[in-house]
Amino acid sequence: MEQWIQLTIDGITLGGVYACIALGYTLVYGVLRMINFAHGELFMMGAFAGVYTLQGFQDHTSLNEDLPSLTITAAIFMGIVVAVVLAVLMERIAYRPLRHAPRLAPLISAIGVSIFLRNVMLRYTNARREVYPDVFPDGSIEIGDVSVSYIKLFLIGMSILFMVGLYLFIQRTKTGTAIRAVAEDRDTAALMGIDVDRTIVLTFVAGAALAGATGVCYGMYVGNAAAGMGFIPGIKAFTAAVLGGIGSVPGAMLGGYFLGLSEAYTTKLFGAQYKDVVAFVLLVAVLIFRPWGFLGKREDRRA
Amino acid sequence: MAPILSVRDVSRRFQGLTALNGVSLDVEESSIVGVIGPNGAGKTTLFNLLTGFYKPTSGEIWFRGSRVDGLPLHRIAAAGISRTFQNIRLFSNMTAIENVLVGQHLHLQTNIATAVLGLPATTNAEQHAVEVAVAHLRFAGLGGRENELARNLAYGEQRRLEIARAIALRPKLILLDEPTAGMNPGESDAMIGLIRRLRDELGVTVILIEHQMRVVMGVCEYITVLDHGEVIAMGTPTEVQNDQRVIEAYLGTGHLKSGAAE
Repeated sequence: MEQWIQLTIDGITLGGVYACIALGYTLVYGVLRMINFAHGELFMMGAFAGVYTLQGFQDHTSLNEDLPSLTITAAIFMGIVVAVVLAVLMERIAYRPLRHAPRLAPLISAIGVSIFLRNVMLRYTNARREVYPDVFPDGSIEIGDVSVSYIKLFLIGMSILFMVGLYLFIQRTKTGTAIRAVAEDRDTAALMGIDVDRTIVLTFVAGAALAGATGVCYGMYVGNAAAGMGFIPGIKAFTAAVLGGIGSVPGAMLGGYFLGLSEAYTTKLFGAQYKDVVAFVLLVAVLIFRPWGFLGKREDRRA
Repeated sequence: MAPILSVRDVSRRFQGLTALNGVSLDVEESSIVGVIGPNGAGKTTLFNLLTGFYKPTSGEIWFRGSRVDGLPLHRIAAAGISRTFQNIRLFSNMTAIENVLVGQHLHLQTNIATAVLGLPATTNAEQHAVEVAVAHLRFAGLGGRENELARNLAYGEQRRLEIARAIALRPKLILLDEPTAGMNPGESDAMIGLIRRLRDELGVTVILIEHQMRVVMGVCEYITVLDHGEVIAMGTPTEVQNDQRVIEAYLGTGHLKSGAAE
């Protein structure tokens, strides 16, 4: 029993990460009907921004020991800034010129951006991992026989916080409403006085902020940042977004947790080496039997 | 008084096809103007030019003293032109009130931080926006339907919701593309009443495309007739009704009767 609880906690931890990344895929898909395959790289770049920020504090100050909450906040902030700046640039340089091109063109451009960013970081780091300074307090809380480390609790908490923030942003703010309007009907949204180009940029910004912040928290959790770290979580989050129904914000969250939990239980039932197999079998099954996902809408006559 | 809208020698060609050819049209402020003509005459093309969906191939469009052709859609909306569609284009997965709130986009002020945290400053602004939206819905006869998803509204209600959304922009000019299409006579009469109130109570200038002659003759003060992309007649309903070219365009020979234009 304890073991299952433990697995559930692991699943929620990983699922939260998938969900936060998946939201970026789903938001961009909503407004552009395009999969931003470079989105996982924003998560990776966020993790690097975080690790370099913390290393900077380590080398020049004693703040990592004295005031870790400050340095962690700064690291998350830098992760957000770097991811947002990159997202704005990639939209401007690689996607916007292809707005009216055939749908495959921006997709390929996105793959190009992804390969480019990964190789820039491979080159910059000489393919080595950057180790996160040990800022987060060690230790865990014990509930019966189940033990949950602080960092795990932190990751679970932060991912929920990020998601709630994003959800309120989409539902409550003027910009969020504009994003939803553009997602439903771009031309009509423009006729309502909504600046569509600006709204699309803001959609990228929202997804990138989430990916960057999650990258930092995830980096702290696994203890390092590496150029290849965005790839698998990126693909998994994409799977989560499709499972939940691409374009649906609650769907991305549900899909993320569903995938995280499936992987955790697979580890126990079939062995860890099967967890990717199960994830992608789920993807294939959903694509065959319910291509619009758990909460997505069936697309009829969308161009 | 200078016209609120001035279309000057506007043409629009699509590859080989000339959809509009040298169309000129002045619209006086606070008037209700009808655009009629057989199918394919270029009526909807004219609306698409006025709202910025298309750019004129040649010619100019002036609105309230500034040139608007070639501006992006959202800038033309901000200048004060809004419209409805022949085939209704609501945000169907949003509620009625959310549709109207999107229409209010240009007039909303929210700060991201306070909105996400639900601070009082936003709550007040939000409450005000919601009150205004409810008023727009009531104006269009949709009181009590605020939280219904747009796609679940009855057909006639959807048409009214498009109008409620269009007035939420606080436009000076509203373009209605076949507002009574598919309506029975009773619903059409109610729509005529709503169109009149747009002008009488909100002071909005109205241009409408309409096929039902009963509606056109009943509500429009001036009528422009298009045929094959050209203006073939302009004037009061009576003048247009008796214009030989209009009669020929519609019926070949014979007489324009109520409801005969379908």
